[in-house]
Parts: sequence; structure tokens; C-alpha cells
Amino acid sequence: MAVEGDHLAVEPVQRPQPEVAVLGQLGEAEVALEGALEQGPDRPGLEEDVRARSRCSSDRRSDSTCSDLIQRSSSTGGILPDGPSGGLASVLGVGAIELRGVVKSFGPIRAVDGLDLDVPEGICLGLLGPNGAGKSTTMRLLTGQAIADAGELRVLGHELPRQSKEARALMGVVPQLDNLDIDVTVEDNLAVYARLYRVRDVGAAVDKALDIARLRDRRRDAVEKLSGGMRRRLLLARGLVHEPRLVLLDEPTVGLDPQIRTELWTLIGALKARGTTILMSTHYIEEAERLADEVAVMHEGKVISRGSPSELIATHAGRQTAEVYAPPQRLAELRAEAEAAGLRVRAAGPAIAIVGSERAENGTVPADAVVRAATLEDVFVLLTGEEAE
Amino acid sequence: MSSAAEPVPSSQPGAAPPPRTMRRLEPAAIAGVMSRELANFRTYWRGTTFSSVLEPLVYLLAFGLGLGATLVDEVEGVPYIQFVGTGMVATAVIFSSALPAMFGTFVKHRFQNTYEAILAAPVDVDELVTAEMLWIAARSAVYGCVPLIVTFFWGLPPAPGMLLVPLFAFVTALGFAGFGITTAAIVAKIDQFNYVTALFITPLFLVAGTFFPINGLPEFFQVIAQANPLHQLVELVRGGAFGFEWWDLARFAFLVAFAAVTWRIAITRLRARLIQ
Ligand SMILES: Nc1ncnc2c1ncn2[C@@H]1O[C@H](COP(=O)(O)OP(=O)(O)OP(=O)(O)O)[C@@H](O)[C@H]1O
Ligand SMILES: [Mg+2]
Repeated sequence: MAVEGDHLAVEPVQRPQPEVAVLGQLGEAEVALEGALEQGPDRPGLEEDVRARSRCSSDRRSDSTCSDLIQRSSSTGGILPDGPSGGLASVLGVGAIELRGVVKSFGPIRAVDGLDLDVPEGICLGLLGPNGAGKSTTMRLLTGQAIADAGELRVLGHELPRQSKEARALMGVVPQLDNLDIDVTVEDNLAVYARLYRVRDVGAAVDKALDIARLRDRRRDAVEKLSGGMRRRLLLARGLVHEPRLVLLDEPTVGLDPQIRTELWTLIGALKARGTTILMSTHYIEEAERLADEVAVMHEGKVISRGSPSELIATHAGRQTAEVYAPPQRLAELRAEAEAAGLRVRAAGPAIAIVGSERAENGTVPADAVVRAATLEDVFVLLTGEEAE
Repeated sequence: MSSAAEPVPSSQPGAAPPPRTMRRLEPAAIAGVMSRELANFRTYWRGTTFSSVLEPLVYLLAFGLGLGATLVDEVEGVPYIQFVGTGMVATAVIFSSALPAMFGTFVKHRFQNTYEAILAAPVDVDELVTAEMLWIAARSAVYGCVPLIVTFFWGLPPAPGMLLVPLFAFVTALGFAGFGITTAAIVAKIDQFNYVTALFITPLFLVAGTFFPINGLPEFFQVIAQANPLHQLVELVRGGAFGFEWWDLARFAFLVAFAAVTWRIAITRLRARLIQ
């Protein structure tokens, strides 16, 4: 191992580094396309599919053929047999993540309990669940830091845990807790991870990551001297230093103040626009609503419902929710009446929320109720029985 | 994947496909982890270097000059201060390897979550442990030479055999780094390191033959001392300074074996900690 000046010379692995410009500077679809074509190891002849997908990721909601395409890919089940030139699934760009019947126990606790989860390439999937639902354990399974007791796991066509290292090379991970090296400079923090991910041109990768984090002018400062928001931006940029196709975000904004949260949402939004596949765990409803194309509600180690936020709302909560504020005695009576009329009711702080109130017959919903559009929060509480944040 | 070794049919000639399977113990992964240590070291090297130079000086003054002037003249035909100075290489090595490995590993794992981030990259536990051991050993190889250099000023004659001292220090430090990582992976709380220090580190360092020759000890302790890697290191350093004997080869082989064994154990124990 040669020591050159201050840095260890690192042998680059021959992985072509796509020339993807800084977030937001290039047309999103082109970047997604280039990234997908150049990074994918063996996907000749499939430009068509990738092109279609990158169009989807840049303009999903307005293009119905796109949702068809996504739908079709997810409904094929994802795990396709290996073709002659490697995992067909990965070639098609169908499943960035495919989990089947995954079980993980810690002693008597079943943290993950028969989890099925598909994340097609190019979408942002929000894994929404209350504390202890198994979100972090799922993330750890995907990075090979927990080994499943049962089930099949595939990440970008690589089977886990056997090919976990190959999968990790293509994946970026942003942890819930800040684990930057605080005495070290901003740029050295990034450079170390560029080396760990075998990036060939470390200097260029660091520059791009600095632009993402908007920390170019602070590059030589120790991390210790950064503000909380800057540190979180750096943490996110560190996970992107090798321009991964798939990014895992474990509760990216938990415990942060609203301003920093908004800053991070902007960055994650830009990443999404670039066509990067994102799996993001959260227990903030608003975060899922703003960022996720699809939400999987996780409870006690399983996905109990999945769909776009509007689909989930339509399926589980209907159109309207009526919130009633009254003394506890009266609330209990109203609740009993609504439930007797076949409506679903949940506690909402000091009030009760009668979900699907548009179906209520006259008189079930009191006249002084506040009627509002149904939200993902209604769905979350109905499904998991937990108060949302 | 079954196709891992097969050439990938490509419609774009000249576009080399990236490797599908990654090897174990990749130099790039090891160098990456070491570069993290180096980046951190650059922020604290002054303090470490200061103490690793000052410590042997203090010991040499206290033992070498103090004892040498009043009680002991020569040991095994060598002026006492030179006897202590050469032996102090072992002290420098254990204190710059076992302790940083213990505390460093514990802090990085439990307090800083550093290993969680490293293992999320394409780096495996065996690469992580190997890199940490190599880094600590490289540092110790340098710091281990300090007592020898200091002793030059008390008349220790330079000898060609001394050129091997960094190698001896490196191999011994590998072993103690592996030992330190292993204990860090086993203990539940950081204060349990007190037991490790009292039960292992201090006795090893005292019966290494640094301050007095072990052949003055009861036979039982002499046999035990043969199993002490630090004692073997002391003998090798004195061999380098005052002339080797043929069984020094066996001592060196013992140190290599010590490093190999602690390396394997450290990987197993740390993996059990980090991968659930
Ligand atoms: N290393 C571990 N040892 C023992 N139990 C564990 C371990 N990791 C997780 N668990 C348990 O597994 C369950 C799921 O935990 P996990 O951290 O995956 O939940 P989560 O959805 O991420 O929750 P949160 O929103 O609080 O982060 C919990 O009951 C937790 O106590
Ligand atoms: Mg969690």
C-alpha cells in the first residue's frame, strides 16, 4: 500500500463513473437515464425500458402510461429468473428491492415478521410505521448488518446476504444518527467514503458532494464547527458520494427542528427528481406525504397496506373526516353511535375523528363537527392503532 | 449469481463491465478504512507523539539514571540504561497498540456508530479489522523506535540489526491490536477495560524483561514469560542491538503466530458484535 503525501493511494475498481452533474443542474430524466445505463453492469438492449422509467420518475403523476408500467413491473412479482447475462430483474430495472417472507427475530422479539416488499426502480417508497414496527431492522437487513432468519432478499439483482457486498457498492445509506468524524474536515469526511465506495476520481466526487450539501466554502472546516443543519446535509451528501442507484434513508429527519427538516426535504426531493430509487423509513406522516410516491404502512414487522397516499386514503379512509370536540362523556356517546352506524372512529388528541363521514346518515355526525378532507394520518391511525406524529 | 464468471455479451465494444463479484480482503477497502484513521490522526498526532516521546524519556531518567546510578551498574554485560532503553521498545509498543485498539474500537462502535457507516459501504468485517490492525501496527512501528533513539543519547551504539526493530515492533503491535479489538468486542461497558489492564496489560509489561532480566525470577515465572509476546519482543530488540542468536528466529515466528491468532479471533468477535 503506497502512501502518497497525506492520503493513501487507493486502487480504483474498474467501475465506470457516470458523468452526472450536480443535483438540479441537468435535465432530470437525462441524468437518470445516463446513470442507469452507465452504472448498470449488463443491461444492453434495454435502453427502451430505462428511458420509459426515467420519464416516469420525472413526470409520474400526470402520465398514465407510467403508472401502468410501474404497476406492471411490480405485479410481475419482481423476482425473475436469471437470464444468460445476469439477473434479468436487474436488467429490466424492475425491482431495486425485493423482499419475500423475510423474518428476523431478536430473542423472543420478532422485529420483522414475514415481510414482503418490492421497491421498483425510480420510485421513492415511504416505509411508514410506529416505533418498533421493524423499519430500522429492515434497513439493517438490506445493508447486511442483520442476517434474516428466513425469507429471500434481493437488492439491485444481488441476493442477500451472499452478495451483500456487491449490493452495498451500488447503494447509498443515510443513517438516522449522525456518525460523521467531527474532528475531521468536511472534505476529508467525504473523501474517506468516496474511497470506501471505490470511486475512481475522489476529488471530483468530493466536489459534487460538496455542491449537493452546499458546503463548498466550508470544505476545510472541521465538522464540529458546522451548524446542525449543515451537518445533516453533509451526512446526506456523504451517502451520495458514489452516485448510488438506490438510497436508503432511515428516518432522515427524526428529532430535527422544522427548518432543518425542510432543508433536507428539498435535498431528498432533488434526489428523487434525478431518478434515484429511494427507500425512506419515517414515522412522520407529513414526510411520507410530501416525498413518497408510494407508502407502505408497516406494523409489527409486516407491511399491512400499500399504495400512493391518495390510494391509501381512498381505500381506508374515504373522502371526509369529521372531527368532533366535546366533553369526554359526550364524545363516548357519539363514538358509540357512529360505530353502531358502521363508521370508523379514532381518537384525535382531545377530539374524536369520524372517518368516512361522507357516508354517514343524517344525525350521526353532529352539526358542529369540523369536516375536513381525509388524510394519510387517518389511515395510519386506523391501520396501526397508534397516534401519529 | 450463476453468471458471475461468464463474460457479459455487450453491444458496446470496449465498455468493460464492472466486476460482478467482489473479492474478500480487498486492498481498496482496507486502504479506505486506513485513510479514515489517517484523516483523524492528522487532527490529534501532536498529543500522541508528545506523550510517546516523553514517556520513555521519563522512564529512562527514573530507572536508567536513578537505579543505574545507585543500585545497578550492568545487566548481562550491558550498561543498565541501555538495558532499560532497549527493553522500553516493548513498553512503547504495547501502550501504542493494545490501549488504542481497546478504546478506539469501543468508542467507534458504541459511541460514534462509525462502524455502522463503514459496514454500510462495500467493506466487510474482516477488511475493517485488518485495516484497523495494520494502521495501529504502522503507528506502533514508529513510536516503538523512540526509546531506542532516545537511548542513543546515553551511548547506545547504533547497530545494523536495529534496522529490524520497526519490523519486530510492527508484528508485535499487530498481535496486541488484535487483542485490543477482541476485548473491545467482548466487554459490555467501557470501565471493564480496567480488568483487562490490571489482569493482562500490566503483568505482561512488567514481566517482559524490560527493567530486570527474567532469569532472576522463579522458574514458574520464567516459563510463563516465554509465552509473553512482549518478552519475545524485548529479546529481539536486544538481539538487534547487541547481537542475534539463532533462536531469535523462533521468537519472531512466535510473534507472527500471535498476530495471526489474534487477527482471526478479533474478526470473529467483532463480527458477532456488529452483524446480528
Ligand atoms: N439489536 C437488537 N436486539 C434486540 N432487539 C432489537 C434489536 N434491534 C431491534 N430490536 C427490536 O426489534 C423491534 C423493531 O425495532 P426497529 O428498530 O426495527 O423498529 P423501528 O420501526 O425502526 O422503530 P423506531 O421508529 O422506534 O426507530 C423492536 O421491538 C426492537 O426493540
Ligand atoms: Mg428506527
